[in-house]
Amino acid sequence: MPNIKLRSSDGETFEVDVEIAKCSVTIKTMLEDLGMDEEEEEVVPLPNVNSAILKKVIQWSTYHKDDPPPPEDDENKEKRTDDISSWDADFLKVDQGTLFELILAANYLDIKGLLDVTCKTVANMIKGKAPEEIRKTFNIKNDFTASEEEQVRKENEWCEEK
Amino acid sequence: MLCLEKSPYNLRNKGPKRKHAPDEGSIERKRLRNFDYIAALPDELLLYIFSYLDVKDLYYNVRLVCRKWRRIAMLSSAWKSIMAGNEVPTHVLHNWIQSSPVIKHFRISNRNDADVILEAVSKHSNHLESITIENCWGSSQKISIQSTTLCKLLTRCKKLGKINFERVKIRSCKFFKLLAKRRNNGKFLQLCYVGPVTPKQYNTLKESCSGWIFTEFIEIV
Repeated sequence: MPNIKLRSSDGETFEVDVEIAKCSVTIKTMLEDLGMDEEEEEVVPLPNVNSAILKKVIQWSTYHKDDPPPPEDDENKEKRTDDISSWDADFLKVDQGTLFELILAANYLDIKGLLDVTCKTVANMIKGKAPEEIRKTFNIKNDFTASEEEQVRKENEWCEEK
Repeated sequence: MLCLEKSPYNLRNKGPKRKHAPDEGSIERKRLRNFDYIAALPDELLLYIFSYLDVKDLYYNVRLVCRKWRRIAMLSSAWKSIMAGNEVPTHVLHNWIQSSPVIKHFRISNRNDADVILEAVSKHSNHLESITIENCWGSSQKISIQSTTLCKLLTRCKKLGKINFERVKIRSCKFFKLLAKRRNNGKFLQLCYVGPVTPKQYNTLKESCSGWIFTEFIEIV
């Protein structure tokens, strides 16, 4: 199997099996469209991904290289979040900074499987939590004005009564 | 792919500076933990995360976290359908309709404010594809639903193709006449009507509905 070299934003170079690198649609398109010859040993620069994250992305892609392509999104179908495999769940036991950087990297590299599983993980961190708990979980500042808060409170009175 | 065209994002550049990527000191790590990484996500990615949540989470919790979340939550595809029984107060449902421009499916049941609510739907939900009204009164004083409101619904919601009325009474023939006109324009419309009609309404309905997918379950009064 031929390898290609990927260079992270902080200058580290990773040698990866081409088939694994092609999990990323961005890299795949780059190789095909720009006619980057696999034999020329060119280095693919990835200025948006640092080495720590790229290492994780390669680890994920290596494990998932034989997965069937993920199905297209169907907006009428309810999306599940309880179908994260135990390997992925372990893989994503990381701090929030890493998790969100993985989302950005998966989006930039266009790796749908990784994007889905990371976004599901964040969705699970939101599910069933009250607004204040959500703010605490993600360190979000409540920027509503007093009058906006009042309106929100009024809107929600009826559901608190239940 | 959600936003390849966007300028490069690097969360850690926006956050506190790190000297060594993987092995920073514990103080540094503590500072990082208090940084709201999620705020640095572009809107489309936050929206993608929200697409995994249901309406309940979005409406009661997510919408109330902060301004940005409120704005993005209301764009979520989860709002493509609204179902409301009598437990949702009129002003809340009204507000809900007003702030969700992407509604495709709308269903109300056991309510006594159909006139006001349908007026709001006709005004704000231009993408509406199907509507179900079940056991509803026009207002707390009147059983029947105004024909003019229903006509507005038909004229303003151009994509509306499925109408389902059950145990609903409609005032005058105007709505049924408009249905006939719409059909003559070659627009496909699926109608299911279960409820009392006057003999005049029945005739108009029958005329307008011949050749349609039409469930005839009518009680003439």
